[in-house]
Amino acid sequence: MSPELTTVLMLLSLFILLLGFPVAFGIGTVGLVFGLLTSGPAYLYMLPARIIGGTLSEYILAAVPLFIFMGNMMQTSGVAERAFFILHRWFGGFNGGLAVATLVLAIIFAATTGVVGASETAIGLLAVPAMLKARYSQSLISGSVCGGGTLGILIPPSVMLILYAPMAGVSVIQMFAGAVIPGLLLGLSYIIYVIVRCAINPSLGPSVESEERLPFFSKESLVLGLTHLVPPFFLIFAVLGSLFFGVASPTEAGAVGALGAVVLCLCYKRLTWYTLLDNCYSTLRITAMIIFIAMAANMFTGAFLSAGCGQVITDLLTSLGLGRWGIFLTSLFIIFVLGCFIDWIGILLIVVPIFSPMLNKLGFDPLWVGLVICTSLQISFLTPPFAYSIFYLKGMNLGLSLHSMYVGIIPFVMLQIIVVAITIIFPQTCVWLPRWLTP
Amino acid sequence: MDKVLHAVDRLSDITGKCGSLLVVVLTLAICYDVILRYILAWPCFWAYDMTIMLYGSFAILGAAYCHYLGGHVRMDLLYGRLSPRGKAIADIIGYLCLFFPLMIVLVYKCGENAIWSLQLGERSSASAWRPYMWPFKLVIAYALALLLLQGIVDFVRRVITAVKGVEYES
Repeated sequence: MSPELTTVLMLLSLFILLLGFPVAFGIGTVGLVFGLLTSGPAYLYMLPARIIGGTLSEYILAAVPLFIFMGNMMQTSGVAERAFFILHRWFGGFNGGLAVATLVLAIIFAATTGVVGASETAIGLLAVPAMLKARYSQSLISGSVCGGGTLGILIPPSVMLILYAPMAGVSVIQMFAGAVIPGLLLGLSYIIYVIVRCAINPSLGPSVESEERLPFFSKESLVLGLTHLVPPFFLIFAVLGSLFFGVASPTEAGAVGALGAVVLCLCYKRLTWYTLLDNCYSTLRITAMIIFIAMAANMFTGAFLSAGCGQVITDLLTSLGLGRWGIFLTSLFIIFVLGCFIDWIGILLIVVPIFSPMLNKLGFDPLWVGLVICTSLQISFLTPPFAYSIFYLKGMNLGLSLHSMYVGIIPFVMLQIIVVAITIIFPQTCVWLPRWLTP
Repeated sequence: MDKVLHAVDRLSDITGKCGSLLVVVLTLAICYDVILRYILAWPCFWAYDMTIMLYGSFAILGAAYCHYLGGHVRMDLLYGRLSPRGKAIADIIGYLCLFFPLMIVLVYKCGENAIWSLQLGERSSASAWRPYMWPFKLVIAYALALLLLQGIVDFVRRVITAVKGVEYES
């Protein structure tokens, strides 16, 4: 079979995933079939090396369960409730303040967790009832919870960046450092949007009654801040600081962070055998799901690349005469379209091994490419028909209408597109921090 | 037959729940190593291999558990709109085309690799500890075989659902 024919057939056979069977098995089978057709028994011979010696023995991937465990324990510890309790009293006094408090909480919580589900659930359960009670508009509530919740996967520690880095041959630590500014930019743009929107139309986010307010500069603020905000912040800085200053590997930082989160639970008297075991089980379920797709994608891309299909894609895109920027933007557009239908794991694990060698060859900085791709994958959580953030919010059953959710995310998708454009036009936003940390 | 189906469910459940505790072991092992290395400047000769083996075993032992709980992601653009019988038929096709061929090959190749590793006494060359590789490889082979078994059990349930037209609960 010629590489061109293999490319077409392999990509077409991915449509079998529409059957609705778990994605991992579909991707793996397509890889197996085409591996056998193009390389014969040699492909079978390489299989244990790919799976046992590859995905299951990747030191850096050991950070995945550790950061998920850390996020779960942080959720159990109740730091989110404590932080929100203070934030909503600080910000509640002005129009749209609760939505701002929600977004600030989302940014803080994103720095303790690596997946979207955990952070969005934690934030949604706290913020949605509070905002509904204060008569905020439903679309503003949904937008800020969905938009804020997706930050969990971009702001480090992030499972997405851990999976991306080894595939593209960049360091996880540099990716983590690089994602800080785009992540904060997204968070900041959401906050500015909420403030401006509520200033124009105060009925979207009315201010709360005065007795709940807490002045920022007061003794009570200081005491509450020290007991409720400082411990999680300390943990975040310990984990990210030790990573950024090269003291620990991501795997080590993950373990220390997980232990820290357990200690935090212990201090806040939230640790029981039941919660500990429950967190172990859910960590296992999420990890197994992610790693199994990673194994299958490894089988797929192995067959795809060894049959020379990566070259076919590169040749095709270069022959279109788009120029290097045209190819770059086309790749991003493909990722954006796929994001409407597949979740980020599938896109990341299949598309990245195909696109990143091509973009590197065109002379783009691999670190910057990675950060732009990961920032734009944020959009995939909010774009229908497969808007995972909306699915999570819907699953919480908090009395928000589905219509308001879909309307509410539109401005946030726009903001995400603007921030992606900023990271493309000003590459410094992504690469300045990692370059500064490791000259 | 229900007894057999339940027995496999239980095995996946117990394997998963026991395996999930490895994340605690992994956390403690790495923290122990970090403390020794950074505070007492005592590098652990086993940390690297231990981390990999604990992580790999943890991730793969969850495969059958995750499948048992229906935790592997699906693309339910069309699937979500099907009737219970339609879903069961789609799943049966999925099992026959996408699950069994893949899993049989994986169990066979990884099982063969584990036995080969056991017979030859293969050792890791990643660190000075040089542990034997067969326990790790046997765990992987066991976990994959259990996933295949869980798949067979689930397949039987889907066939019964497709025949009866209502969700088979047991």
